[in-house]
Amino acid sequence: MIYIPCPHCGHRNADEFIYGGDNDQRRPENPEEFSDAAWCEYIYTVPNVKGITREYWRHKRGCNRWFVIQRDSRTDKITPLDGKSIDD
Amino acid sequence: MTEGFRSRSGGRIHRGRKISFQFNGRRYEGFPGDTLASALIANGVSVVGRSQKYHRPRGIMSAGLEETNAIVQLAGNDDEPNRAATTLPIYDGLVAHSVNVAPSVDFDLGSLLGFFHRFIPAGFYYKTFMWPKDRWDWYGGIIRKVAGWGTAPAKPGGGRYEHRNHHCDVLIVGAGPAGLSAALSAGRTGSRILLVDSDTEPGGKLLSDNLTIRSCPAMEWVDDIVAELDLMPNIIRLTRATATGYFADNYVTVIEECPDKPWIRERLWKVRAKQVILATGAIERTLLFANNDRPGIMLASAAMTYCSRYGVRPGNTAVVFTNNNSGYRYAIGLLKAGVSVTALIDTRKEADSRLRAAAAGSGIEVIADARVVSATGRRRVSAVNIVSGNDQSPRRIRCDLVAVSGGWNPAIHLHSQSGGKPIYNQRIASFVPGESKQNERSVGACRGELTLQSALAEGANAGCKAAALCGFALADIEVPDCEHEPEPGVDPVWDCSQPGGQSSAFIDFNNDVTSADIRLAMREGYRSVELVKRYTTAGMGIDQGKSSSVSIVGLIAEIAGLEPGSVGTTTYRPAYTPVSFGAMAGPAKSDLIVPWRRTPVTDWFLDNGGHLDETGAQFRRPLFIAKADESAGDAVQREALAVRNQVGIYDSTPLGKILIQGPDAVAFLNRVYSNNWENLPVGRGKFGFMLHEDGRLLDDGVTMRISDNQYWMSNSAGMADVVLDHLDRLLHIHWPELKVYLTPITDQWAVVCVCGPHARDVLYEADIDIDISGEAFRFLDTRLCTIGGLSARISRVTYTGELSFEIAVPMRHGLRLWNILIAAGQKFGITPVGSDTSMLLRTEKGFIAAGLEGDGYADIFDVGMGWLVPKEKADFVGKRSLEKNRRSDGGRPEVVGLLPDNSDFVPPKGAPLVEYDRNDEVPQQVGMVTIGFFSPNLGRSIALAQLRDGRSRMGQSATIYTKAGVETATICEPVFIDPDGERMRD
Repeated sequence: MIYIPCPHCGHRNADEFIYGGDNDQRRPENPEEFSDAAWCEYIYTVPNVKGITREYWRHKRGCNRWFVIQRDSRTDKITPLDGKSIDD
Repeated sequence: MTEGFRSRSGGRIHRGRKISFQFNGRRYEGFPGDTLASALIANGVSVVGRSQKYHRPRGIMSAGLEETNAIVQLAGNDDEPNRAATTLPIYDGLVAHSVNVAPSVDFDLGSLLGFFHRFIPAGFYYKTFMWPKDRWDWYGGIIRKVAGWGTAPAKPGGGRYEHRNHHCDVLIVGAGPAGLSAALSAGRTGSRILLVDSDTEPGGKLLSDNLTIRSCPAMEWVDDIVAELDLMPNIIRLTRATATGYFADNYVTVIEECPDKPWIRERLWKVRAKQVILATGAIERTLLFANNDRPGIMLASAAMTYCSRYGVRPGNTAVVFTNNNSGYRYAIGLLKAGVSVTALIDTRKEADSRLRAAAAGSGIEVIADARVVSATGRRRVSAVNIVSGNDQSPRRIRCDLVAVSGGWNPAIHLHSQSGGKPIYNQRIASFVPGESKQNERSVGACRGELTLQSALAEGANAGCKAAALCGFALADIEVPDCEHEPEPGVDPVWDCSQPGGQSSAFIDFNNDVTSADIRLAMREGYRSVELVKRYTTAGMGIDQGKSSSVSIVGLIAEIAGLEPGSVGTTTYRPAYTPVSFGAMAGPAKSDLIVPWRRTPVTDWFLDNGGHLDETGAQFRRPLFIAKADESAGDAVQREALAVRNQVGIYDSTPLGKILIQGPDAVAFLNRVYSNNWENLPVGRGKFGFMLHEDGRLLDDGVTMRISDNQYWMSNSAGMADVVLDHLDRLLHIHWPELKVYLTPITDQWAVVCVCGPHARDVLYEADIDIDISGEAFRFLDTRLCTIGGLSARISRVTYTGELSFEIAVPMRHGLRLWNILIAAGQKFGITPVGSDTSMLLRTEKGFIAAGLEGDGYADIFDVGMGWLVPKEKADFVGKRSLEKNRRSDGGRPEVVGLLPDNSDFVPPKGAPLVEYDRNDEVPQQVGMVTIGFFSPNLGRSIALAQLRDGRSRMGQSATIYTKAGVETATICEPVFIDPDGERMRD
């Protein structure tokens, strides 16, 4: 079980958190301007990056805070975000 | 039996007290410190089990957790299958018996299979039992009876199990010389250490190998170290604790057996360590020759262990068969323990000169460049046949013990589980850890460094390094000198049996796999070690290849003409040793599997005939509240009549409640609900439907505006958590600019619903202080009030279609409110109702239930709620997908009502609605019954259903397919009572 650094509580087991999706996937402001195909792409095609991803997590069974971490999907290694250390 | 097997003195057993135990129905005695295996050897028991496939007699093979033969079933209160006798300390009252024997271990009918075993090679089942195809089930039943191991306990396991989370700087696995040395150096730095060892006492191989450190017995060094460690406050030391799994980010599971604690049987430690030191040692492997599985043939290290640690002689006349230097030391050790060692057979031409001289000096005949090709004897080995040099004529040597040393396999399992890739090492002809993928390091024998001196040095070094990486200053450690041990100098021979021989050389004792099976698999084209393993089942038994996997790789390499390194290993997976279900479940059994949520009225229901069950969100709610001797069906019918004719009372506390606050609350509701939320006045509520972004239904419910910037949202009980996650995610990720705050308040408010024609009378009787007449307090109004002296919020919402009030009070007042209303309602015949009744009443009204009519495919139009999607409304979550789906989809599953033509037939939930083609006898499914009841208010059965294009089929007939036969029903609007909603608006 990976160990996730919550910016508020420090490192905690992954089962205390829920995954919130890719950091770069924002809900479009203008869905009506999307073609059906483009909309399907947004809804159903989840980015599955091999390498460094930035993703949302929420410390649901803890402080309930949302935060973004940078994770290498090949190794699960979590690295500091924006040069700032997220170590406890 | 005979006392002859127990030496007069020596060993780490305590001879002052005797322990009585039973094995296969006979009573034996042993001493504290004995394992079941050592006690059986002491009692002269050589056959302890039967092999899985051929039912060959088997004896004790090892002295550790790699045991494949001495697998026993514990009986009585400790009922547990498949325990290795070699790691099971005996205790008073132990009752064990062999697994897989019929009728007894001494006379096993299944062993007749042994005579046919030449006809049961690898893949036999796949090839033979394929015809006729549909008979596999029948064959399978018989095969399962003949094969297989212990039986699952009939009763729930006794004893308690617990889970414990643990954090430390350094986790050290193994308390042999390397582990203890690491613990000492890391411990002296002050770092927090967890030291775990699977044995009953620390020392590892020093417990049995009679080595010296600083010219003193090595166990004196162990005692000194352990004494120092136990005084350190920063060290926790566990015995009988096995690290079974190594997971991501240094998360290691440890199973601790706690026999000395009557209140707990096993404890699962979930350890998160900054650094891990693996000092798991090495496992000796056997050599392959014909009949190498006969009782009396065991690992040389095991024979040594039984002599020196347990004070028992596993035989009287021994032959040692080795391909490395370890065999010499063990031969001399056996001799010193009183076993007559007649010959030492070495496959190599050259051995360590000092060892050879020592063996010769002890009077042991050393036969170099020789091999054991076969053993004779059936229930006990009686002799071995050897060939030496170029002389292929066998020589026969009588013996009742063969001690085999085939080299050492480092226990790299945890390293491999941590992500490391094992690499082949020529020097020891086995696999050693590769590059570390996590913060772990292997030391000593489990890294292929097999001498005591290197174990001590590597341990000390690793302990310092690991502690330093955790931020602790280096400690000053000196590594003591110990007795010289030569490198093993192993000769990699994988199969000594003679090609074409009549008897089998076993490679996996657990699954009865022979070298001939491996050869056959390779002849049939299997090359990958993973495939050979699966085809032959080699390495797939209880020991999970601990005894066999490297030999399998070696043999495959030899046959294929490859280097073992290029064959690679099979994958090592958790768990390292078998883990009991009890340890996995921990305290989560029976009532604790799901922690029930309670409402203030739960106990009242229990006292008053409530039939409680889980009905969503882990709340236990009454399905109905039965009077004495009343059936479930009768209770539901009575309650449903009471709500429509008098008045009912219902515990609505489990309904989800979320408080939505902030200046942007309206904007937020507009984006998450399909309908418009502007212009809702304070004190009014509104019904809304929430969609997923892909257009599916998420949940429905009433949200009330309770002040300018505060909204009270209700959710289905089971969906409250999902909805909160959905809303929370939208707010934080997609719309962080909105000033909205969400607070789950389900557990803060007890809610009681009073519904029925007399609902208003009951509330007046309970002294409500506001005017709740139809004009003053309309449907979907909400207001603060006082009732029975309690401050409360009252709302007019309904799930039954009757005049209905929901009264919310702080949780602690819930039971008081309930009792006040019950008392006030007596004269009006107030009837407590359960959730089954509620389901019946909502079916009569055609109200949609999320999860039934609103399943994962239906959309808001399908459930007849299209009016909740205003045409002119701008974007909301799910709108774009809804548009797309509506354009492209025909044949939607639309909700309809069903009136069965047989008014007593209640359509079962989930029954398919079918159509028959004109010529086709095969029914095609066009829909599904979502709920059906006998309605006491209508005096007939009714149902709701999803039906393809159902809205265009009103008045037509539908066919309901059930196991009992086909029934017909008339399709109607999904509302059976009060279609205009006059009652609820009264």
